[in-house]
Amino acid sequence: MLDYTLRRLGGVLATLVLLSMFTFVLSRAIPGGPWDVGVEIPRTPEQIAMFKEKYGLDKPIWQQYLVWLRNAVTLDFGSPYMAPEMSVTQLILRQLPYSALVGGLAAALAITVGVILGMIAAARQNTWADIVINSAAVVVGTIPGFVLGFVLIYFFAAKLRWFPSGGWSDTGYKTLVLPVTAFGVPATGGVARWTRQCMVEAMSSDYVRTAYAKGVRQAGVMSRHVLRNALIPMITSFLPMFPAMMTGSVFIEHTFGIPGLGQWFVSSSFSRDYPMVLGITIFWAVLIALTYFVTDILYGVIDPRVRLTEKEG
Amino acid sequence: MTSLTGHLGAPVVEERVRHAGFWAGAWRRYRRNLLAMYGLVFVVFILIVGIFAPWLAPYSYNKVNLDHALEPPSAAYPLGTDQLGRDMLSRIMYAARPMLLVGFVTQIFAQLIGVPMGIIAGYAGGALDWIVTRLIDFFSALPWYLVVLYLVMVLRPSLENLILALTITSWVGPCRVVRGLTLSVREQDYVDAAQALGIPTRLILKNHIFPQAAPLLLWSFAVGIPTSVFAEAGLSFLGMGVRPPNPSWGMMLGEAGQWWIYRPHMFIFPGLMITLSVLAFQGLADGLRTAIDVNVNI
Amino acid sequence: MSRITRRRLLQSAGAAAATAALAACQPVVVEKAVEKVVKETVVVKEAVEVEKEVTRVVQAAAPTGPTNALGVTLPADALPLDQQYRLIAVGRPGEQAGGSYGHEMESLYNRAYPLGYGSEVLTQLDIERNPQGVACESWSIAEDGLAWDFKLRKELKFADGKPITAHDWVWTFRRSFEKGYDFGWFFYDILNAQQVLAGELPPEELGMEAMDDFTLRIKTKEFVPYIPSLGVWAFVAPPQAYEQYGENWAVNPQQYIASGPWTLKEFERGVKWTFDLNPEYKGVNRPYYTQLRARTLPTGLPAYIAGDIQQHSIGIDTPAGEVAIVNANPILRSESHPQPSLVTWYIGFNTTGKFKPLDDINVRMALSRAIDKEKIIGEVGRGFAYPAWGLVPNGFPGNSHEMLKGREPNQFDPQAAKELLAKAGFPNGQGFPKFELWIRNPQPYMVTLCEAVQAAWKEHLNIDVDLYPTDHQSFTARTFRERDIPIYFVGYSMDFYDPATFMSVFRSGGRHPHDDPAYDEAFNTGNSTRDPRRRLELLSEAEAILVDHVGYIFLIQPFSVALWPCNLAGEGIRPNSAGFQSDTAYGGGANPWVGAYWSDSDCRKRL
Repeated sequence: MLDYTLRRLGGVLATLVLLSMFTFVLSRAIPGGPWDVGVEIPRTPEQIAMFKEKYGLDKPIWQQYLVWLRNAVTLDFGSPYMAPEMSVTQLILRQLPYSALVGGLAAALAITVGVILGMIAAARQNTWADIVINSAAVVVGTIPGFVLGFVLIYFFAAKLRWFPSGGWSDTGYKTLVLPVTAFGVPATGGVARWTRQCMVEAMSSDYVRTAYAKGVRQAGVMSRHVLRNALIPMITSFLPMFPAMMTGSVFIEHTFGIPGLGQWFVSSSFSRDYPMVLGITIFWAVLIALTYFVTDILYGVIDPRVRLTEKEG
Repeated sequence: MTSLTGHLGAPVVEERVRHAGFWAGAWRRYRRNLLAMYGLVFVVFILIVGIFAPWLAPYSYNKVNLDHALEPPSAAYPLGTDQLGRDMLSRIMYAARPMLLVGFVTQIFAQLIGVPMGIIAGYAGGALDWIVTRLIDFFSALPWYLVVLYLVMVLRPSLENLILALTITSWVGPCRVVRGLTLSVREQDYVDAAQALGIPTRLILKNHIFPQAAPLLLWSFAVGIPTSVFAEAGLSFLGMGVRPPNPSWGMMLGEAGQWWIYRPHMFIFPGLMITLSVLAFQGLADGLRTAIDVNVNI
Repeated sequence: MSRITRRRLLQSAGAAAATAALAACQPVVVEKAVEKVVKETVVVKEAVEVEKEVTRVVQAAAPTGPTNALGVTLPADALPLDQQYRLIAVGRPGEQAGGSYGHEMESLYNRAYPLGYGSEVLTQLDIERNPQGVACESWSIAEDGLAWDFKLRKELKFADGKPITAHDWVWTFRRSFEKGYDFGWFFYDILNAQQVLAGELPPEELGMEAMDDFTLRIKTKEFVPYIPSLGVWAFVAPPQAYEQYGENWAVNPQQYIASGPWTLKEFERGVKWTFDLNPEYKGVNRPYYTQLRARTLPTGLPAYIAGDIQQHSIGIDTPAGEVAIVNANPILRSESHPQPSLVTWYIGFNTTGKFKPLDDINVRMALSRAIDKEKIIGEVGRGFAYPAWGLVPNGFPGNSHEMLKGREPNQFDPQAAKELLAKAGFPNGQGFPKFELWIRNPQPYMVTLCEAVQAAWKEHLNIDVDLYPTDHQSFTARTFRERDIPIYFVGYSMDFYDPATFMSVFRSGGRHPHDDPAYDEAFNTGNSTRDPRRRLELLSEAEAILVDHVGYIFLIQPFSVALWPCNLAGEGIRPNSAGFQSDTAYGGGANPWVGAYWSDSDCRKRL
């Protein structure tokens, strides 16, 4: 186990280095640069030269990368051009809690409700319950965000005044209800359908028929045998939903006014904010690698026969 | 894709015996599944519409007619018009093409790349698994907007580049699913026994491992097609994807954002098409799977 | 008269006044009669002189509201001081405001918050859009028109007590230009500004001088009448802050040294910031508000109706259903205030010769005349835009909207366009290259607009163009700097209330890949004319040249309707002579939020 973990860790580090090199080169290869952000009149060559000198962008690219790498090893990722008074790490850690709260709750909602619905649909396969849940799941997943957002805010905030329409300050936990709903509901559909599919697959296995033949009731079969085996593909898809939703969504954050991390993913690329792009990419890579690692470990927990090492025999 | 019964000799024998009536039986089973039939009909319908759109569509997809902008459905325009007076029905028909082309091809590539890698990684373990896991981590972490910006600004935006961009993100999903399933299946007794018998690895993969994973993949392939439509719509505002005035359902849905209260038909129809397509492909996949799996008792 | 009778009289008067107050549910200033009871000691002359306590009822002075930290007394109907705050959306990175720099003269396009809160501005515009002195009390112009002397107010001080002098102004500008101020091009009318910005001359050569402690002299190369208007974007910075704290003092509440009516109370990038009143402020901009509060805010009409945001604007890109909601609701209608158009969006051509045949004026004229602007803008604009016949927007000072309507490129005539194209060598569009049309960071209506133009060119001229929406940085780099994009769609909005704000950007050697010496000549001559009327005439002629040479096809001048809650009151938001009201700054520059306050009114109750 320890051996495997260490090998995995080494692998992740190798990926990070490769990823950072790739991102470094790619970001410089795109036309335009951080000096032209938002300007109406393009900067003069002298202004650009001044900018480059200030941020070390006039050195050859391999030199820039080595400087960055040396700092990155000590977890110093520099300062974003868009926020020079703090470091990249500080900025990410500061914005993270907001989107993590909203995204985490939304993911939890989606997975809880979705799995339950999916199980019902699988148990009642090809009956009306199944068709209704399936169709509803598809429709819910297709509703455009602007419709859902508008409807939620209009009815629950403007008309009924049950919840504030968003923002983040002094209004407490009620603020979370609408954004979490808008974020989580569309995802629920996908979760429900995938759950149903995984369960249906698991249900058609031989040992399931054997269990029925032995006289085990459906509830018992479903929970003990079917669910167990359906879990592997299920967690493969569901676990990454957490980091994906916890790092925020630009649309949700914009509509509901949440000071989250989502906007930075988009804007740092467009603003050519090189330190921020690198920092956020590394951050996301670590998160996702961790998630995949946990998934692999969980395979072993769910199905004790699974071994993550060489095939023996 | 025969299912395994646990006795090694049996599948081979059963295959030969059933061969004559297999496809007929499969079709019989398929026909009974309502959703699957709907799926088949709809997919064929979409294919015809997409291929023959220039002949079937009543108007051109980019005929701007400002006098008739934003009209609700009527006799002249059965599905209404959009903000430039273009006929919605024609645009929806033409938009079937990018969906079929981009969505389909992207999913094919994603599965062709992802599935073999996932099986090999799951089965062999060790160094091969390590490499594939590295690739999965790498491609999952790519800064997406940067990549798209590069494809648009430096390489020229084209259909090939669009498919490339979408495939880059799509192959990881099937790969991981297959890998997980493989890890679980390879420890089954019959696999052990097959190995003990000296059956070559590739046959084990083909006959034992792959059939366990395939049904789920078939489903995710089918359903992934409309997902690509949404992804493509998201790209189009960056200059990637289908560029105006060429229509795509996802893009039409996005454009409808400005008018949806006033003229809901502008977002209902593209949305409906996407919903119906998802259900159709899903039913198709479901039906195929059930039909071919001889173990399912219908 | 006995006291009892007088008291009863006053009591009934009070009751009548109270009833009147209840009956009026309009946001009118309510005079509540206040009975004030005063105890006095009175000597009553009787057989024996005795001191008696007598209560008299005294009519109190006209009631007023509370007084804020700057000594401004709010009117009687104002809400309490802790509710007199302005809610502002924290800027997002990449947008204007939400960026890195705390002081306006460090960066305009990358600034941390909107302008003019904590820094004193040289001048600002009144509601008639005329400049008035803020940091200065008057200005005078030299005989030859090449030097302006601004007399600064002597009582102004930084928040740490140090007086604000002309030396500080000069220091601010020199430092700003030395560091490559991204808005520096705006001040190119100042002598040597361009050279100093480019590093060709040292900062000391910049045409700004402190004649004495309180006289600031600005020198120009040629006469331009709008120098005081440029002062709307000029802010003073405290040199001692840089010396003491370094570069980032302006985003740190502990280090912030204010010179304006507001000072920084808290700052968390991307999450919130707050400005409170600066009690050390000695200047003339004194708001009723007590706090500027920036948080992340929800967006959209529903949030505005819910009262979670304090302003909303509807324009071309507003969903049509929302416009209908506003129109159908009498309260929302009463809260709607149309704003003038301050921006023109246009198609431009790269006429440098790189993209034949775009350098042929016949081709460009054909492309222009194939577009039915009235119809297309009428449809796409949905009542929120004018078709653009020229550069300067309709309604803007010095505009020639009506006159330019009759110019040749604005005459929609598909037949004439076809003939022009044939004359240029491309009959029925044959052989015409397929060009790309780059659109800068478009809102949805701009893509629709370009699609309409694309369709028009296809239908009337059989020409194909490829639409290419792109992000801001890529567009600027490729279209304006590298100049290798053939056709583009972009806009320009005004910075000060003079036609030169638009026209100067279109001179040769500016951002556009189109040179026009005839226009340069006409504009420069007109711009330096001393007589204001003659000047506007000459500028109008120059604009006609610009239109006739079809380096650009001016398309659309959108405007918006601003909404703010009906309980906003104050003389600052009254309509000006053109009928426009605004709850924010007048046309760019500083917005100290003077002259408006929140009144205690239930006018929104039935919303």
